[in-house]
Amino acid sequence: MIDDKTLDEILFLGRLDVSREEKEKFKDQVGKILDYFDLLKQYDTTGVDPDLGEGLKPSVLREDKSKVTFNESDIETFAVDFKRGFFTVPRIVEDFLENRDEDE
Amino acid sequence: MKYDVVIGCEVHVQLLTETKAFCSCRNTFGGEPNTRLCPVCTGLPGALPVANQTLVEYAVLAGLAMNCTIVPVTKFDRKNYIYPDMPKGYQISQFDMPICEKGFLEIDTDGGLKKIRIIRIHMEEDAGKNIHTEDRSGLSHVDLNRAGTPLLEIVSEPDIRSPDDAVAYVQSIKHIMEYLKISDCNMEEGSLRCDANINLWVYEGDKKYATPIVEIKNMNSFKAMKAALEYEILRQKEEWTTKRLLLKDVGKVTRGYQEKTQSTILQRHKEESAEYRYFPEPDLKPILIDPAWVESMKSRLPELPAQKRKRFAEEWGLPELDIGKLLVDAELAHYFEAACKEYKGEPKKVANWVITEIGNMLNKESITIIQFREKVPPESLGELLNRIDSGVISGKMAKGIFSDMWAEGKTPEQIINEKGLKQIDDQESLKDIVREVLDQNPKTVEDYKNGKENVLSFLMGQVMKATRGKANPRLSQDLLKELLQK
Repeated sequence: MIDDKTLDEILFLGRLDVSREEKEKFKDQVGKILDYFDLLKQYDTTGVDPDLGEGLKPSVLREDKSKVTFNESDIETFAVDFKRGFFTVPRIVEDFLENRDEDE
Repeated sequence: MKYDVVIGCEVHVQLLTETKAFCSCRNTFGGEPNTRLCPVCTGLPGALPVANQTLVEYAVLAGLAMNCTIVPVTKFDRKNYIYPDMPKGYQISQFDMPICEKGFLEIDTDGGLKKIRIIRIHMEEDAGKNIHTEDRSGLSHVDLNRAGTPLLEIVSEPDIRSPDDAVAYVQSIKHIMEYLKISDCNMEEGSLRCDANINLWVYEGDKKYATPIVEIKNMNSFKAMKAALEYEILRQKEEWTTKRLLLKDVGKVTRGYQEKTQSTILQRHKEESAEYRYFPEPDLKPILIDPAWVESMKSRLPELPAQKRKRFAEEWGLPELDIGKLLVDAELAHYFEAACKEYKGEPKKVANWVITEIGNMLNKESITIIQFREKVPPESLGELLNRIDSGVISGKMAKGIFSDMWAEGKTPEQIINEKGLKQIDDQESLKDIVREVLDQNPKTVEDYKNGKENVLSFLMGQVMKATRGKANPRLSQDLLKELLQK
């Protein structure tokens, strides 16, 4: 189960606006997911590598050969705002701009 | 004030792979904005990354070249941050299982070779670029061509003790990358970027105090790097004297280097890694690295600067100073070695020519050794020097021929033949010329006979003038002396 306060916080972090009915529905669904984790917690997984469980194969690497994918009209279909070759976004406020870590 | 400077570097290098780190878009510099994009590097929902095998290979090569341990299992992690240049909302990087660990580099400093330990080398992707317009539109432009470019981040221990050594360390990484041909390390284009962490250890009596660590960003050239670090040492000394701030109280801050004022300004207090909410990248499985494959990669390592340095000194007896100048540029070292193969004499003579004559030429013409090589291959230089040794031309003539080789793109032999530049070393014809010179200068001959031996050089000059520089100098001198004795 999940209480209203926790659900509100999750919705805030997810930047989600939902109606009262939807909220009730999500409360129920998220509660079920959490209950399922409680079930999983009953199993002892000490010594099991989370990344390399049985039946899971390690990474497959890709050959370094280039392919052309998007052209400009492709981008226009999904970009919110695409003008003269650039995605446009609201200007990052001055303060944040100055504090920006260029090489993140 | 007794203190030590403590510097550690984080170096980012862009790799010269054909494609991006996790998708098949081309990886090149510049070009029209947003022309090398796909669902993966634009962060579209449901698009899945697949790691580029060349990225892993290059990381292993770099690790081996920097004496690192290559781990048997490595994985990618998400480094979360929100900014328009990274539409996924996170950067794929490596957190707790980097591909290479515990290496070191030896750098050439005024105080001899110094060892700088390397903590780790990890793989990650670059971000796109934001272009902030000055107009009133209130908009910023985003170019995602660079998003997903493969990077290596090389992190050193704080073993560096001066701005000069920091520059030498980053230059040494640059040279290794160039020798490996895995990055072009162009600081202006941003394919090599360095951030430095610097603070002071101040000694008072038997106590040692550490000043707050400053991470300096925005150093876009080696010159800027040296200036930024030198400024920061002065600033921290001043700050210690006036405020006595300690590392344990203040922690770490970020300052940006300003080219105009050659100073650093405060940007922010540094995020701790918790704020990036690192977690394992669920879309990429861990990579298992076969030790046998790593062994086979060792055979792909070219001879590196440190090994070349040793060989040039031990086998060829070249002086330290010359070696340093030759190794600065991988291509210059290649050129030197190729010329040595053709030349039958001592490598030292080739070194002199490469450092002085070619060095001057590159400066004068503002060209690279690669451009120079297209017109004057190293074999031609070797051949030119052979001609001097065999007496066909004099050293002075060789310099003229060398200029023509560059200007006309011809071999020494072609120029010597076309211009009739062969040295006159036929004893009989030279004797006639010397005799003529003596006849024309009776007073000088008289002076010589009265003991003024320094007039010999004047007479030599006259012989050269008469032959337009083609007389064999040694033979001319011998003949002059011989005829003056009579």
